[in-house]
Amino acid sequence: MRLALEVWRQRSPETPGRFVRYETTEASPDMSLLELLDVVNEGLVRKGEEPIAFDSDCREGICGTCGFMVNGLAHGPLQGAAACQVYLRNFRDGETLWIEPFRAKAFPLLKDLVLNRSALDRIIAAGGYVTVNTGNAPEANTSTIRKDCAEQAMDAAACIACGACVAACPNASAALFTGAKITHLGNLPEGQPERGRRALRMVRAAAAEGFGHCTFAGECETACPKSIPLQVITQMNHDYLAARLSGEGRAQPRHIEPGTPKRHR
Amino acid sequence: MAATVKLAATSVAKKALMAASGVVLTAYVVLHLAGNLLYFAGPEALDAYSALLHENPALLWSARTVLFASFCIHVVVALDLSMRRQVARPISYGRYERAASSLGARTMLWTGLVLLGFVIYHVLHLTLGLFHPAYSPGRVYSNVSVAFSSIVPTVIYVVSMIALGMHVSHGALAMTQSLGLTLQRDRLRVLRRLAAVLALVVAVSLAAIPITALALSLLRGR
Repeated sequence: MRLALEVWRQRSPETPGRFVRYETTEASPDMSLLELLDVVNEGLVRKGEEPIAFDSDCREGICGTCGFMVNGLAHGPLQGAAACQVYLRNFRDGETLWIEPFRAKAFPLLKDLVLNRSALDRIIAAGGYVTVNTGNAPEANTSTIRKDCAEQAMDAAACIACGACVAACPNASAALFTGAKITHLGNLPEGQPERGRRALRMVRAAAAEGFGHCTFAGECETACPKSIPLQVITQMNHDYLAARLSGEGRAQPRHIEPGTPKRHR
Repeated sequence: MAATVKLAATSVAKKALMAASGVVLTAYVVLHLAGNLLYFAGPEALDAYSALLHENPALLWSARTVLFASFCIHVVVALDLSMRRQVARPISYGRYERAASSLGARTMLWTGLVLLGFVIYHVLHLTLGLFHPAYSPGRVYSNVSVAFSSIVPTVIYVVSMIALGMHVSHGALAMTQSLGLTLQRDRLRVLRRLAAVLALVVAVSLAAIPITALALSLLRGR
């Protein structure tokens, strides 16, 4: 199979990048996109050139490490598949593939196709957890959860934090990512006590990282390798607005250091 | 005050403002359409409707105030958010394809700008009577008939109503989601279709008035 690649090459965050054209005849229809890059890189190394830097780890669509734009689509043309699960049989022989990093202010580029996506980790750190110690796995059926709540939570929990939703969004919004974690924990009993606080903190963290706003165009849902539904964004909006309107997080307990002299009014 | 400052901080809150003002504007468009359809009932019905609206000035001006405030919020927040797109993605893609967006969603900003221009023109044209050859307050039917006896205003109105239809087709759906109306997948699909139907009804019915007026004047002139 003969393929041409237009790959974004950028040596460092400071230097300007550009598309560089590579052609290969060694591609096989059974190769994944990452294996195609491996083959191109072997050629580059043989010629003594700098190989294309890209992230990858499990190469079976469960880790969320890989990801780039292929012909303007995050993770390439397939739904429910990360770049490592997209095989070259999905492209025409002789086609040119435009390979470009995910672009967002919150994802600073490190080199070629490699990004720093720790902004997503900081959104999770702001509230994507349950504070109580849940201990060992409890006896089954001690707390009953409605089937559809459990299913929604599981669908949302499938997020692998690859950043494709941000990349595909016309506004570089992290709404699908943030909404997924809020829906995941907000649908389960363990997540209830912190539900409002979690929504407030995570939405504010996403704003502080410089992600954009959601216009409900639906690009993220199509790009998501785990096909997380758009409804998680509505859930996030719902939880955030409910928390805002109920005054969640505004009443902080007053702290008085023991031993402070009594006040005379 | 601190609460409003904080409310304006995140994009979710801003989108809620967009949605709340959008609900007001959509409701107004539907009411305005219902009233305007009296055009087809003849001069007496339309002029009587106009007189009814002007009967209670306090009510009329409070409605206009709410409408104007919603319009301003909608426009200002929309411009603010659209400028933030550049900030959130300073380097744009060499290749970028929108796979899932509807036509309405893709063109939201542009149809919105068309509507901004249209609303200003429309108020000057048929409420204040500027750019109008023979405006007389209260005689709505004759004002409409005269206004659309020439081609240019008719074309402006029809194009604007197409823009309105596209804007509503995405806006009517998105505003419910920005306000956090959580729905199951099949209900969401129903809502998507309802928004499209609403957009079609609004655009076609509102565009029918200038087209009919133009057709009548052409027939009469012949």
